[in-house]
Amino acid sequence: MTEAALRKALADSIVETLDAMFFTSCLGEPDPEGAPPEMASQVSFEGTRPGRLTVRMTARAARSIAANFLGEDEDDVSDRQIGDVLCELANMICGFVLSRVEGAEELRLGAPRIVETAGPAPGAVTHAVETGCGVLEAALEMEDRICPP
Amino acid sequence: MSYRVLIVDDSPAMRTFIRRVMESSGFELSSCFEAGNGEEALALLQTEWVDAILTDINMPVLDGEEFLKRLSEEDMLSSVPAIVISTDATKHRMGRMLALGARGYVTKPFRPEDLRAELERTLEAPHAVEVPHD
Repeated sequence: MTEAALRKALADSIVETLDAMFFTSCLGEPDPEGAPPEMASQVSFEGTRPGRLTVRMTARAARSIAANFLGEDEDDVSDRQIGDVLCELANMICGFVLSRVEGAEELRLGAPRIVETAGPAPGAVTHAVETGCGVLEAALEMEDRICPP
Repeated sequence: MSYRVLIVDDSPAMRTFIRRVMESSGFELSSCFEAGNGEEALALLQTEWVDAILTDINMPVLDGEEFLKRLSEEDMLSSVPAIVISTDATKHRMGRMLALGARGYVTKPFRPEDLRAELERTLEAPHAVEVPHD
């Protein structure tokens, strides 16, 4: 799979996941002057192309997305619930992408977890969107075997 | 008719979401039980009868695959229809879970109407489904 195809799969996964289960629309590319991501969740995976997927977003976006997912008011959502929802979001985006990349190979995902908000590693395939409440960015790192575009 | 459903998932947020989707989509839910893994689910099923089980695959202690195996070995529980809810959309995984006795399979992300439709399909025709082949 080319890097361009991987990037498209990542973009599609973000749009579909946010729309279907987080009732959040993607509003295009993020404002470069907007607030940087403050929270991140990550899920690792094994297989012929092991790697990890990291989702980073602003605290405001995280609270809004968690509230939408849980069906609660933003003020009523706890930090623990936000973390739990962000982990589930990373899990879903990762599964969506890998199911299209890995072909018939079963997914072997690790347990998603909250991590520090370091920027994506060099070579990672990334995609960022504006959610209306701040930026959401996903970075997919896989052990090479990606054909150059 | 209303139904008693057990949700098995290690994510409290996911359990809340599934319960909310069932309630908001008009699915007739009389009782909704929750378990954080297969072991907890089996313990709960010793005292509570349910009409359907919605289970994740990747869980600590006892995962969805082992849970389905254990269900199939229990005379009183083997007839309870189980639907797998998973991020794994690969044909191989789906086929294996259906071969283990799952009556339905919903891949995440899903829309609320997708889950309701799969639940209703399974409850109306709770027989084994055809296992896809590559």
